[in-house]
Amino acid sequence: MIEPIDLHAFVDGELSPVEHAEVLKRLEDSPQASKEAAAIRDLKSLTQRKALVAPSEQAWKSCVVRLNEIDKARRVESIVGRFAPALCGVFFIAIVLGGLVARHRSDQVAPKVNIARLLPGKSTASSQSDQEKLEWYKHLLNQSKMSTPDPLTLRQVSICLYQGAPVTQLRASDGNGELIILLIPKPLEISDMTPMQDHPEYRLGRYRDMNCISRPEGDNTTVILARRSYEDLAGVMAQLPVNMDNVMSHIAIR
Amino acid sequence: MEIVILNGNEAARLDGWKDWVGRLPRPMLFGKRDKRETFERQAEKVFPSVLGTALRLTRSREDAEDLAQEAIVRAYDAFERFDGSNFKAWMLRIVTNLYINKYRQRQRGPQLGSLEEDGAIEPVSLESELPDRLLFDNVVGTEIEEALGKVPEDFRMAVILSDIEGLSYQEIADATHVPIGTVRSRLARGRSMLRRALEAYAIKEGYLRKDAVE
Repeated sequence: MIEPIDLHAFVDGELSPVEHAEVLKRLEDSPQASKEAAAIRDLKSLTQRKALVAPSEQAWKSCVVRLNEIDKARRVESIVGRFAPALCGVFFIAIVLGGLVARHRSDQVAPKVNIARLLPGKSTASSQSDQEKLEWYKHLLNQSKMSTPDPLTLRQVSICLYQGAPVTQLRASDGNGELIILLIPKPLEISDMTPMQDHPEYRLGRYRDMNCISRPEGDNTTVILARRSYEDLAGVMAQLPVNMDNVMSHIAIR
Repeated sequence: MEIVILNGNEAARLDGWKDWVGRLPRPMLFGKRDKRETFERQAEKVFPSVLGTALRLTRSREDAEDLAQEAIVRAYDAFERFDGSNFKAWMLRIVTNLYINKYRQRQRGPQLGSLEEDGAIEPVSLESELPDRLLFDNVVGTEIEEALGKVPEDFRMAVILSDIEGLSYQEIADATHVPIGTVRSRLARGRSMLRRALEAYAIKEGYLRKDAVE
C-alpha cells in the first residue's frame, strides 16, 4: 500500500532516491497504484498544457514605465543626496544675500509706520540736540512776527523720537480750527493710507476722529491731522514747503 | 596583442583571485544601469508567469495587474538581495507573499477557505480503463481555469505553483510559508479537487460518461 501523498511526491520527483526506488518497486506489484500514478501524471500534464496564458504585454509595459519612474526618482534623490551640502551652502548664501538686499532696499523704500507711533505721548525727546531744537522752536514761538494770507498760528512745539529720528510736532491753528503737523526728517509710508485721487503725491487716511494727510517727499515726510475735510488739509499741505525750517517760516509764530 | 606567460605561482594567485571574485555575491558587481538591464531582462521572461499566477490567485484582471506590478517593483527594490538561484521561484514567492499579506484580506465574497488539510485524500484515478489524458482530451483552457477556480485557495496555490509554474516542493513551502509536509498534502488534495471539478465538466460536455466515475 502506497500513501497517496507519497504517490504524488513520486510523480513530482520529490522523493529521495531510496524512497523513489521503494515506491517504484511497489508500483510493479500494484496495478491500482500504477493507475493512480498515471492519473496524477496525466492530470499534471493536462493542467500544465492547457492552462491559459494571459496576455501580458500591456501590463509589462506599465511595469517598465513604473520602473522608469523609480529610476528617475532615485537619480534625483542621488543628486540631491550627493550635492546636499553644496545645496545647503547655496541656500544659505541666497538667504544671506536676500537679507542684505532687503536691508539695502529698506533703506531706500519708505518703511510703513502706524501714525500713532508719531504722535505726542508715545515717545519723548531725549537727546541733547532735540532739547536744543525744542528750545529754538520755543524761541521762534516768542520772537517771530511772520504771517500768511491764511495764517497758521503755532501754539506748541514738541519733539519726539521715532527710530532715532526727531519728529517735530507742531500744534497750530488757523481760521478753521486746530491742526497737528508732524515733520519727519525721513521718508515714511504711513499704514492704512490711500493716494488722493486728484493729488496722488498726497496720501489720505484717518486717525481716531481726525482726517489725516501725508506727503513723503525727498528725505522728509510731512503729516497733517485735523478734524476737517481732506480738501482743506490738502490746501494747508500745499502751503507748506518740504523743508522743516521753511515750514517754520510759513507759520505765524505768536 | 601581448601574450604573457605566467609561471605556476602567478597562475595560482590569478586563479585564487578569480575564485574570490566568483565568491562575491553577484549583485555586488552590478552597476546601476547593469542592475536595471539585468533585472528587466529576467523579469520580462517570467512576467507571464507572474501575471498568470496573480490572475489565478485574485481571479480579477485588475487586481492581478496591480499585484503583478507591485511584485515587480518590490523585486526591483530587493534585487540586490536576490541570491541568483531561481529568479522565477523568487518572483513567484514575492507575488504569493504579497497576495497573502495584502490582497487576500480584502477579497470580497465568501472565502472558499482551507478545508481540513488532514482529511482523507481521495484517489485521482477513475474506475474507467481509459487513461485520463484521453478522457480529458477535449477539455479546454477555460475549463481548466474554471475548475482551478473551484479549488479552495490554499490548495489552488499549491497546484498552480507546482503543476503550472513547475516549482519544487521546497520553493512552494518557501513561497507559502508552510512546511513541506503541508505542501505535499495540499498538493494531493488540490489535485483530487481539481480532478473532481474537471470530471463535472467532462460529464456535462459529454466527454465522460457518468457511470465511468461511479
